[in-house]
Amino acid sequence: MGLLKDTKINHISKLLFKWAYYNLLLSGTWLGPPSLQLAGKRMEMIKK
Amino acid sequence: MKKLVILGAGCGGTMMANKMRKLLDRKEWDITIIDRDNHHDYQPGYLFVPFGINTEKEIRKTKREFIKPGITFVISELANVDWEKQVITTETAGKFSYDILIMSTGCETLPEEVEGLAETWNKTAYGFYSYDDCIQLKKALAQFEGGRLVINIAEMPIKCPVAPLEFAFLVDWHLHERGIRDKVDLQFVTPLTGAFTKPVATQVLNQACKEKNINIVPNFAIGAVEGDRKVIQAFDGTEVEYDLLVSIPPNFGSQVMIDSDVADPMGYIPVDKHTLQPEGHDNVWVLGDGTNVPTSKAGAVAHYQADVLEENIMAYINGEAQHARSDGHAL
Repeated sequence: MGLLKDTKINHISKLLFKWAYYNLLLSGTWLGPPSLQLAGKRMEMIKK
Repeated sequence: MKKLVILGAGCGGTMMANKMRKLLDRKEWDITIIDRDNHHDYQPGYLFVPFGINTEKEIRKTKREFIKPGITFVISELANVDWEKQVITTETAGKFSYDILIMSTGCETLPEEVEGLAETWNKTAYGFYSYDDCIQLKKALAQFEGGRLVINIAEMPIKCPVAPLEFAFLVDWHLHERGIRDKVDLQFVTPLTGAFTKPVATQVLNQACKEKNINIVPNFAIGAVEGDRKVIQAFDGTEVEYDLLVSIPPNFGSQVMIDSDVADPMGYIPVDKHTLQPEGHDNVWVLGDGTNVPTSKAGAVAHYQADVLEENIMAYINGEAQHARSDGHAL
């Protein structure tokens, strides 16, 4: 794990994501507001 | 009784089945989901199996255990999709008519699309984009004691575009852990101009590769693999030798969709990139890796697409305007 020191949190998050995938995503659980997917996006591009 | 049919019980199809079962009255709507097998693989785990971070057993479960009660799960290969007659024909389970169709049939890697690659598959060339492939790669990596390890992306688009680079960093770590990193020339051979698809990320990731002594060979359009010589050849004649090749073959959508005349020659289903509907078919929606939408082929994209479909399908059923739009967002 020494070589992964800079990204250890990222690495562990990836491993924990498996739980979220099986228990939240596949069940169709709503994870955020509808606007979440548009956060930070250039809306003028979407409206075209 | 009205019928909602879902093709594909992977990430996208399972999410949609479960979402719609919560929303649709069981007395009014039957929901049927069709897939060719009962294996549900945690696809991000394919990347970890070759290094023993995940075991094979940890990433394979059954599809049925994730499909909620009140949904009929049919296991069969598809034979034909007919949007005009609104009928799905399967190989072994008969025909299914539908009022609403959701398609999530995904994509897969095809080594046979590169000359010579299929002949060398699991001999000197390996992959990590399927359950069987990542297990074979695990065995090959365990036996690899040094030489040139080449990671090659054949062409874009591919599932999870960052996965090949993640693999490169993981194999760098793995080789260090085994104490043989200094015996390995690690090469990342790509058709892109650098480590990744986007310029800002590419700049950062190019530097990361440099720091890890991973040599990037850009603009390499592979034409053939010569397994006997252990060489990959580009169309311009450039050659790269290898001792162990980790290949990301071309990705294709479903052949059945091509044969049903609902997909492009790559097997991807053309849809409006914001509504995710094929032109002229207002009761059909498509999500996940099987569309021609110019976004990442990743479960996260399918997740956000599912939110759009859920809202618009309910609006369609209720005779209301459909306002939800997909922007291809991954995270």
